[in-house]
Amino acid sequence: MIYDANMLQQMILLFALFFAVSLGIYVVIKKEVRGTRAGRIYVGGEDLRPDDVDISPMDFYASIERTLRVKRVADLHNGDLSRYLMWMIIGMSVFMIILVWGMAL
Amino acid sequence: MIEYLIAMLAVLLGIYAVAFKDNLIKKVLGLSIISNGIHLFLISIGYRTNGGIPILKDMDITSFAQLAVDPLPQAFVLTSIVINLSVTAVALSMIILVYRHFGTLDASRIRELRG
Amino acid sequence: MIYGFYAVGVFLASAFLTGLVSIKSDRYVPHIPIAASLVAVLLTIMTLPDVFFWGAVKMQMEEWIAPIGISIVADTLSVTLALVTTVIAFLILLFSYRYINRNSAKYYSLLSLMFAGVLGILYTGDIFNMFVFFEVLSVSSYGLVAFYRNRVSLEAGIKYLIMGSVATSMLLLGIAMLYGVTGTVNMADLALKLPFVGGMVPAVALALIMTGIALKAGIFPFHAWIADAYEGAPSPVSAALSGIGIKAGVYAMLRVVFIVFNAPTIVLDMLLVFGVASMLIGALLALGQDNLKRMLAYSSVSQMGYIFMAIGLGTALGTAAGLLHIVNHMIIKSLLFLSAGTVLWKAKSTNMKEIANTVRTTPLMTYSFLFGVLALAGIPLFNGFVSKWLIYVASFEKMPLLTVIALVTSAITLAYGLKAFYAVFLSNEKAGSKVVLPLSMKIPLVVLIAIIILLGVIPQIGIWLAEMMSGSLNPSLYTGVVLG
Repeated sequence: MIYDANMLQQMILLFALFFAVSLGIYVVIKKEVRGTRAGRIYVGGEDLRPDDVDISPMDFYASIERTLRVKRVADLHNGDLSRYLMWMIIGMSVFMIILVWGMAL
Repeated sequence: MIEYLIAMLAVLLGIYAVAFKDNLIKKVLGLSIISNGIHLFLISIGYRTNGGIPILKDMDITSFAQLAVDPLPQAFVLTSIVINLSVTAVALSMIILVYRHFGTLDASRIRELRG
Repeated sequence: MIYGFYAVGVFLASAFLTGLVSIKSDRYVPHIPIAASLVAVLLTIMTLPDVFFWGAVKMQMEEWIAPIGISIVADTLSVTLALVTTVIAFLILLFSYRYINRNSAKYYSLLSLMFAGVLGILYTGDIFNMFVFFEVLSVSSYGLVAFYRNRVSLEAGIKYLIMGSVATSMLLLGIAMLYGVTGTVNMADLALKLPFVGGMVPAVALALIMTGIALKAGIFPFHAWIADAYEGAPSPVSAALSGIGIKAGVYAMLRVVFIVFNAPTIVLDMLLVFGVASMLIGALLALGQDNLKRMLAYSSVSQMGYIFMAIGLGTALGTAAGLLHIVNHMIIKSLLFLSAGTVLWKAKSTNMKEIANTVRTTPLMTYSFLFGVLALAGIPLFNGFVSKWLIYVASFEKMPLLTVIALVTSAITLAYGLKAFYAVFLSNEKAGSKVVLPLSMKIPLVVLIAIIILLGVIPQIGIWLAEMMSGSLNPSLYTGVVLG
């Protein structure tokens, strides 16, 4: 075996799965545990109304996207077929240069 | 030797046409030029100077094997011609439909899918 | 007698029969490919005992002896991938039964041809034969991507066609060069003869072959067609392309690099670098997407990056991890695309926000997508965790920086997966019309979920499979079996 997931790890995982499944069944069956209720939102020292804390999933990662320069990478994929083919040609040339230098010299 | 050079030249010209020309028809023509270059390359590999046709008739096997041109690249080329025929057919029919929807054949203006 | 190879013939026959039957009436058009895929699964299962007993089995087409004739080789890698391929093919065809709302013979014919092409690539031992099946796969997928014939699909189709044709032409040129210097196209024979050929030609040929295959495998810088093609194609076709088509590319790359060229270190290092690049670029692009299918497409690019990075490590553990991730990703990505398909079936667009406003999702749709996302990110109890854990361990042995990059990418994977899940399935619970899924669309989801959880809870299966499969990348075993 190149990697041995031993008996103890497996038992733990199986117990975790069994626990999760039974908890899920309990939640589904027992009506009073299921169902949502809206409670008081108390964040940062003040009560908020639900409308104030609406986080759209689209903007959630906006700050991360800005740091990782996702927009710059996305702009390079602007849909221009000639540009995509040029990358393919550059990629092929890089393959060729590196392989000839590495394998034949 | 010169056949190989011309074949490689055809391949390079075809790649230039596909990558740097904007009209879709010119790109498909570039694909045809690339495949022509590759076919010439393949047939030249099998060629033997002053060789004969690879059909066995009134000859024994050993002298036939020494005299005939290699038939295997010719089989490759036939297969490839058929494949390129079907690709060109699909490409041209798609281009007709693209023209009907977009009104232009300029690849730099058909850019609605981006990101 | 490799029964699994006859599955290629079964799919080819189903493609033609579907066309013939549709002349008379459209009613039984979907049933023929579905029956054909069941026969294919059966044939693949029949091949399993011989392969796992002997290690690798071979057969010659029309009894021409190797290396003159075409060899058909089934070793553990090909037969495992073929088994997963045929099962997923059955599930995709079953899903299409109601998803495509008219019994279109063109669709089912082309899809059968695609599966025939993939199975042909998996079983052949002859590099030119592999090129032919590559083209079968490619041309049928060009037609399938443009199936809807609207603006989006046509633009995607023509771009994919042009890029794909350039790539397969380069592949043919590389094969021609190899034939020119060695006089053979049998992969085992090439493996024997290539070490004695000096000069630049093998290197140039390898570069050309690699560009041709890398486009199909979807790694940087050949990944640009993937997002457009998966967006324009119908969802079951995207599942087939991403779950099966890309993997044919990876398999071909493995055969060429490991068997024919005996894995020189420079090639493995190059695969490592391009793999890491694909991993990061795919993940970043998926994070910034609004469109559900494009996000899944870039996610495929990222996961292919994981596979190439793992294989490029060069260690036994790395190769095994990469091979296991191939199998895992086939199942996960098919589940994700089919699950997205259930949502997109009745939705009017692929923008995530707009789907949420028009479709009210059922629990099965929600859980299938959620499990897919969790498995993709490598959460324990799902199969993605097993292969990703092995990748982390293997890359840590070589260079800890790679493990850091892999972990960061997994975090980004979880990020975009949960973003899509939340946007499509959890926001706006009361809006939209309820969707009633037919049984033929529920069965594939349930089967794939069951496989994901099974492989995740019992990791021994995955690890055993990985070890078995990595044994086939040994060139001396391969040449021994083929050339006797």
